[in-house]
Amino acid sequence: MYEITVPKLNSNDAGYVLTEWRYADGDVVPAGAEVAVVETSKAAEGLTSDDGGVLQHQVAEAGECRPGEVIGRLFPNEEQRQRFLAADAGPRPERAATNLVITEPARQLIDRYGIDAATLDGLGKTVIGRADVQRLVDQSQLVDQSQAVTPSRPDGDGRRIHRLTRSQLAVAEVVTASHSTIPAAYAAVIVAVDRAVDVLRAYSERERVSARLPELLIRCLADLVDRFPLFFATALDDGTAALADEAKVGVTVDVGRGLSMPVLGGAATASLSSIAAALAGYRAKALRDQLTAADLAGATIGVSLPAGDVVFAQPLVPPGLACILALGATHTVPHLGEDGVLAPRRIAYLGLSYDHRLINGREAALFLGELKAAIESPERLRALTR
Amino acid sequence: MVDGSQSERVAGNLNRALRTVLAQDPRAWVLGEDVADPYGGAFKISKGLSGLYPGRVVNTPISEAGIVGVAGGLALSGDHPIVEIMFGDFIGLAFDPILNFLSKSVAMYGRRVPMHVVIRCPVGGNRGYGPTHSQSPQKHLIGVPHLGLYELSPFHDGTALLGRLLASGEPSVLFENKVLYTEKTFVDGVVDDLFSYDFPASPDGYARVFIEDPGTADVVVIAPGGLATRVLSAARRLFLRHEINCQVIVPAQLYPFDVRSLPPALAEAGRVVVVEEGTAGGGWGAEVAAGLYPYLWGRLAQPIRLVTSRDSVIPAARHLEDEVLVQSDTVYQAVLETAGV
Repeated sequence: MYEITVPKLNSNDAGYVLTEWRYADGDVVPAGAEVAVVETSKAAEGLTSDDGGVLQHQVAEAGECRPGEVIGRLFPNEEQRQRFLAADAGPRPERAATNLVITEPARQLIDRYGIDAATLDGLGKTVIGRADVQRLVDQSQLVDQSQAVTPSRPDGDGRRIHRLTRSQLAVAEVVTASHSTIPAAYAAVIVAVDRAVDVLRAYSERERVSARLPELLIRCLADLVDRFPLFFATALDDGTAALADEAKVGVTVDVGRGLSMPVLGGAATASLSSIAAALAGYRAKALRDQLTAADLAGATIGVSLPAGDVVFAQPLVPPGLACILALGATHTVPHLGEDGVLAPRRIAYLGLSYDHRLINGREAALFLGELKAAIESPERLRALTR
Repeated sequence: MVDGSQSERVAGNLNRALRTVLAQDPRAWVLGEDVADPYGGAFKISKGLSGLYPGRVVNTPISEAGIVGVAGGLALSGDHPIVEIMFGDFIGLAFDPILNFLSKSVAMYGRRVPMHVVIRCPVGGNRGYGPTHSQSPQKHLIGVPHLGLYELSPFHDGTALLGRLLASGEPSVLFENKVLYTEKTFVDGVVDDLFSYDFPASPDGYARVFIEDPGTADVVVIAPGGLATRVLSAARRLFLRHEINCQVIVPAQLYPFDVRSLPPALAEAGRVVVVEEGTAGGGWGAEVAAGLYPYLWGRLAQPIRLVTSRDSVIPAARHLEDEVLVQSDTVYQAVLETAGV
């Protein structure tokens, strides 16, 4: 596969506009042909591709693109393009499907009273503010669901009863299955992240994305499929395990609307910025309750991102996976250097819950060691943030 | 690019406007440094025009005083020249002919002499062009009798605007913020899923951008076209985070500025922010505020807030330039403070 990237056309524009594709999706582009036209603030420039192949657009016409960004791909044949499309369908962030604009104060109220999308649609408004939601609450005498114990009717013994939300019931089902079927063990390493944090910050500013340690971890993780196949496997009952061809990384997302684990595919070939964009897309969808079954299906490994300042977490392995990583919050500790000098160092705990039926402690240590080395490696960081 | 389509961008819209003027008005000219093809102007606004109208799209020597002087002569002879100053920063070189020739000719010969001439000035920063190619010199031309100052916006159609300026009979300077060129023009009264717009005073008057109901607003922000995107991005965040409802007024004409045509929401909100990209001191915003005070006296909840770039040379380094020039965050903060939240 050949990636069509945008060269730096002048030194003043942070981005250009892709004005025209000369070929459609699925067209065969000859080598050396002008494949697209991009417009800078100064001029329109044709982009030629040295290689030929079957074209798949990444950026749509009239879309914005930045120097170095992949705007399309050329495949040796149609079959490979279709395979790419199938793999890529998951993580691509979509624009919001709903036409509603909801303010944050309104959103808080909607969450508190558990108001669903259909009710909001019923308001017949496109812009929804706090007052609109308050009116709904007042009219329908809705119940504040943010209270740990709802003021609903007492049971026979006079105790107050809290009813779990639907999404929490789903979580309960998964963790119960995990607890009863997967004999999990746990290991953790300390990763020094000073360099990575700085490099990622500069990269994010340059690329105008928010690529942090989770994105880097996901990217590095994807490279380990071939060397550690059992970590990406599904345990079967008959003493076998089904191996995966690809790292499809399920990432925990909880934006206050319930815990979910959307899946990022294609991370092995993706840039950090596209992983960041895909993750941001998922968070946005989660916020609007728009994650689909396709978004959540097909994970071959998990990454848990504990919220807030939690430095150390031991996640339950979701049934169907062999293991799940947990990346704790970055924090500063005193570090005794080889020269005996104390200096501050930023670290994060990287933990691994693993199905002990498939994986033993030695492999877990090797696997964590590989990830630690990758995240700490200056060369790897340079290559990924070029 | 399809005429009037939703995907038309400001540069294309302006190119079409020049093309239309040249096609419909045999007395129209386009003069400037390197405006003819193949270069088509530093920002490609006159791209393709010299081939269509070879005698009337003319490359000039590098002398702003000379170009504007020639335009003045053509206008005196009844022609309709449109001058491109490659970077608006160079307008200083043409200040004398503008002050003492073009604008004076309208009224110093004992009878009114119409001067149909437009001087186009690409202005503004945020492109890393450095101190002498990034300025917003609007304020230096305010207050010259018979000189109209205008600014391009993504709301106002270039063809109508150029036609209006050429028909006015007084010389006009049209400021064009460079960041606008690659931005989309808005059509059909829709900005996005939150904002709509209309032209309540007249079809070529100010654009009024509002959320749902144009009759109410918490804060009214007055900003020229070059700042529209930055102001709207701030207004969007202000509404989504704080439910502060900003109405944004984007005038096509900067000077003379018609205060009385402004909408009633201004007086009702009682909170007004005027934004300009020019550096602090003696600016357009002060001129607007001076006009607004008598009109809003007694109805203001807060003093009118002026937002300008810093009183500084504009650095070439992008991260330093960001700090000097008005950005979306500058507007966001100013409105937040004005709203009293």
